[in-house]
Amino acid sequence: MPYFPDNHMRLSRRVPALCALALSACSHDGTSSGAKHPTTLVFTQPSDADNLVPALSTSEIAAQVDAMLFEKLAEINDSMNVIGDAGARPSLADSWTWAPDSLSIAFHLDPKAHWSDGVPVRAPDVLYSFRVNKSKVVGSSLIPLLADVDSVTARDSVTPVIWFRARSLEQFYNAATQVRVLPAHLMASTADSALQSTPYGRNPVGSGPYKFVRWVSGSTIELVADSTFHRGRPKIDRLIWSITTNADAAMLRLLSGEANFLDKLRKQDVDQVAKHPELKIVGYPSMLAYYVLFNERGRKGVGQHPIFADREVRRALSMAVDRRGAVTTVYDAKTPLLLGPYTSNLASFDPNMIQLPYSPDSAIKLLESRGWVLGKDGVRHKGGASLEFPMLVPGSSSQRQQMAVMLQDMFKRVGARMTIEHVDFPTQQARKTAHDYDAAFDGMSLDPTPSGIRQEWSSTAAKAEGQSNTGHYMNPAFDATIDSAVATMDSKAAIALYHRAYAIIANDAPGIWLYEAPALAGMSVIVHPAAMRGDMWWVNLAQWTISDDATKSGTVAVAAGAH
Amino acid sequence: MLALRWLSALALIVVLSLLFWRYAHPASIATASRRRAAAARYATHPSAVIALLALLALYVIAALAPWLATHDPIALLPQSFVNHPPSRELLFGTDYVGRDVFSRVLFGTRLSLSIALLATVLSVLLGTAYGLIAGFVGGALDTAMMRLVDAFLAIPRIVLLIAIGALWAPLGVTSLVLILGLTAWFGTSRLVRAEVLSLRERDMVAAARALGARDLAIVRRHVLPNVLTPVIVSATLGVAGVIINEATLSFLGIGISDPAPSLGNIIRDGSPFIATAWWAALFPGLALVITAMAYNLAGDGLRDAMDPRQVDR
Amino acid sequence: MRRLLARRLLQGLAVVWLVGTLTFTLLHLAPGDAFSYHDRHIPADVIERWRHIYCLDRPLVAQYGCYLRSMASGNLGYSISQQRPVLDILIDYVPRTIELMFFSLLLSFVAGIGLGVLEARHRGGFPDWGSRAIALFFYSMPDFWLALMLVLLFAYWVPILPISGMEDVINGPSFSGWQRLVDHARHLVLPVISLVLLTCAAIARFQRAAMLDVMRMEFVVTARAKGVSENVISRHHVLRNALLPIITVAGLTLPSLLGGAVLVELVFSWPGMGYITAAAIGNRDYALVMASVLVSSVLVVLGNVAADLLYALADPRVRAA
Repeated sequence: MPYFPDNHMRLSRRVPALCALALSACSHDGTSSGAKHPTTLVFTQPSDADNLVPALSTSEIAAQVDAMLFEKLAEINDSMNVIGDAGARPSLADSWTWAPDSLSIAFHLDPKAHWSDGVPVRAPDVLYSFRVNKSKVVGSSLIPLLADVDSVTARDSVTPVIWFRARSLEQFYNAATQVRVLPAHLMASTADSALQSTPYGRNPVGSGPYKFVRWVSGSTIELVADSTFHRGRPKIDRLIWSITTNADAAMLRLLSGEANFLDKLRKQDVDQVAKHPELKIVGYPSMLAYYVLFNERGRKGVGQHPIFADREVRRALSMAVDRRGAVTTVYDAKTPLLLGPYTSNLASFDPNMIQLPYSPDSAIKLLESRGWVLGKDGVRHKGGASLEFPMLVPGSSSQRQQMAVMLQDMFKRVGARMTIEHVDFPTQQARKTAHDYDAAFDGMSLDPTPSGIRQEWSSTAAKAEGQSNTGHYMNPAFDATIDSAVATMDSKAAIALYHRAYAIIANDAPGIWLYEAPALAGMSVIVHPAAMRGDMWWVNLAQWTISDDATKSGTVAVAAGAH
Repeated sequence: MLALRWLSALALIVVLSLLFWRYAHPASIATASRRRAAAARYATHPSAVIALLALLALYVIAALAPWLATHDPIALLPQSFVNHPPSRELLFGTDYVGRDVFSRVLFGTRLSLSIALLATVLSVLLGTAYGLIAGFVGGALDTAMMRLVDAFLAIPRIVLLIAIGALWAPLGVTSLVLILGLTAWFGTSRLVRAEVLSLRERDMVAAARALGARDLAIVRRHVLPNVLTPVIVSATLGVAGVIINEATLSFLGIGISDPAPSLGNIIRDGSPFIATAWWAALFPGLALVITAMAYNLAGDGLRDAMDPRQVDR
Repeated sequence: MRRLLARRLLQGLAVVWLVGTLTFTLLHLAPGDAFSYHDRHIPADVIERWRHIYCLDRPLVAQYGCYLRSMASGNLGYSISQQRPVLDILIDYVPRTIELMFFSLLLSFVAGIGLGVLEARHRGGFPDWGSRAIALFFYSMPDFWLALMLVLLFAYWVPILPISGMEDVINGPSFSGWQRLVDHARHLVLPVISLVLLTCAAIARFQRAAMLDVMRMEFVVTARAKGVSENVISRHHVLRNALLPIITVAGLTLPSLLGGAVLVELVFSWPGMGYITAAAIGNRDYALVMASVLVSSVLVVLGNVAADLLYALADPRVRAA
């Protein structure tokens, strides 16, 4: 539904990270813009923010704004390494020390860090922020990540210490690089249950590189550079998020010059942007995985699914699909196929994963060997059941709809009849959660942790109510391998274990892995972005510049009409 | 070959309009039956005649769409034909996945016309029955029933449609007809009730009742025939509204879903590309406007023809 | 007069209550609620707690009770998707729609009455059927398509007007007072034009019929017989008498205008009630949907009451009743 807010914008897992500033690149007077020409970067977004308190907001636009207003203790590096603190950069904390048993980390706050009302950032702020994010009353989406955090104490006013219940490779990432530190002196007097309604959520005071100016609901959010920011003034003077009611209108704003940045370009947008010499397209690592998900349980979670409970049938249907052909037609030959439930930008990615081959003949043989006999109607039958199923397809994307039509055709060739059920995103989610579906064209916005796979595909996640493994994929061998990968403190061993787990799940075919959606942003040629991270392209916004030097730096080669 | 088909369709349209012309000969205003006189009065309005011809043409083309289409409306042409501008081969160009817009418009008109017609029939039946009951029974029931209609009319219809459409997606053709029909009868019911109320006071109904006629018989013999005229007029005008509403729903992605074409979803498919491929949104929109306009003009003509008291309103 | 007003307002209240009940039933019968697709990594017990707070974990009748209770205490509810009281949201968005409505209504009346008079005076001539044809053309147009075509026209072919939003976000903050006003007005132009084109046909048609009715009346025929010039006749005799019924149309135009505004707001990104309603439906934000439907129905009911009153004021026979 192009004219409804695209709810894919909602973040599926973690409220993304705070802006981190590369220390080396950041000189204190380093503004490429003189005072004479204030520079403004205008993002256009097809939906409004819900709340600007990081622990409460779920909208992506709020995540972007919050990243410029609030800081985390530390930030992972641009290549998204989440193991230990390797490559992690200081943010609010300028340094940290691990306890010898790895069960606590002491952070030293930058003494110059201060809230935009002048009050310095101190350990009580950190204590408060962790408490709020762990509170079930507040309901932050960080709750599962902070499960291993036992408590936070203050050694002195600038040294908060995080205590862990258990060690893991990702403990630093989960704690230090997730929680945005909130101003206790402004918020702590409000009860947790009243936090949502506090006026502060629409008029926040942060410690980040930008200061809040205004939020006109449904229209504009504006920030201005904080020249007293403790790690140096950001380079662009003003940031404005310009809100539209739909993706087409957002696109028009980019084309008309009313905005100079638009994220998540669709195929049709790419074609148009490519025709405008004053615009360029910049790509960044994709964390968006698209696949067909099978429901292995019966409808509404009762019993076994008559078709998809059988692993061989799932494998046969996977082999019936010419993924490369479909993806090349809908996107292009360069768009990578998905090899499993992860994208190539994850640290644990295994490029040599063995895939089920594309082979309609083997698919037919396999289906026949499982007793599915071709009927006169062109559909296979087994006992009383026929190889017929509806697939949920969100109506918000022309590309996914196009691919669904192609899948329909490929299934038909092996004697399976798939019908397309167009639904909007909330309906798809609701029906998945209620297990009220057979197959779904599903997408997943990954976070950089390899262990995230456990929340999506483990047996525990299948059994727990309201959890994300709605397809009920269960394999004890997979569970055990992932559990040991998460438990080990040896990163090499962990990677090897993850690779083994990936092989298991790919062979079980709980879904048909389709493709990594291209992650492209359109922007004016005068905008020069710093490194754009896959999970959060906006993380280094304070390093971005705007200059008259209109080179198409960072442009990805995109042939018009090809993408 | 295709030209031949179009010629024969054209011939069919001409034959049909000649038949109407003979039936509605102006000389019959004074002499012939009431119905024929109405047709003749209708034929005196040039705009109404044009509208009727347009509707005839639309229905003939819609009915013969599979036979007249230049391409398969669902099949994807090769990649180089994506968003192809109009040409001799592809009259209205192609859309974002490379489907022939001309053929889609033909089939879309067919689907939109059928849906609108069915939904209107449903709403007319429902509205007439509702209005009859309210008007005939009267009293507290009438008041309650009419307040309910007021309430429905106080919700912008499109909001009602979006809410139902979004919440119960995906809608098939049947449920779309149901929803469009079930949200279009409020006006008709008011109209029928008002007519019944005024008829109730008239002598013939009172006389029939005095003679011991049963309510049902009165309705059938005296009320229905009199109610028919305004209902037909409002239904004709109503089809235009339903076509537009169906298109709006499909445009919002909660009506007819891909790949089946309806005028609304062809426009939706075209709208993101309006800058580079304006044809994909323009032509189906024009087809929609022409259809709705023909219905509106025909409705106006009908009103004038069937109710000579209100000439020129 | 006062009794008429009281009765109509009471009836209006009943209608609004019915609207609330209908919308409530409609929304709660549908599958899913605001939390059924919420961030799926929030622990189930947290979501259960929220469902309890927002009265979503009870049977339908009990939820209706919650709804009535909060309405009765003047609380319009809490928007889950925007995380603030519905009332605050309405305070932000409703004035924008009313602004759009006001200018559209005003202009479509000016245009509609003007066209109607023109058509009636040149009845049967080119200005009559020409203007009727054009008006009907726009009247037969789906609102979203008209808006799209205007976007096409003004975004690419004659880029002289802004095609979305309410303000120039880049330069807006540095504008002086009147510059800001001009900027705002420029953003209003296209949405208002769309709505005017969509509604003025109906008004013109009504005005034309009213003019023709009056023209047939005796005093006009008499005046004409006495040799009074056509200009004087239409200005002094016809127009004055034909204007009275048209006033009542104002109230009746509101529902269609409000409906049209939904799509026009969406296409032009005018952040008003249409936009917020569509977004709320997409988010299954029941409280917000119900409140915005309620607000439209209140506007419609008030429009009807105003039309009745004006009609009564204009026609002494009704006033006496």
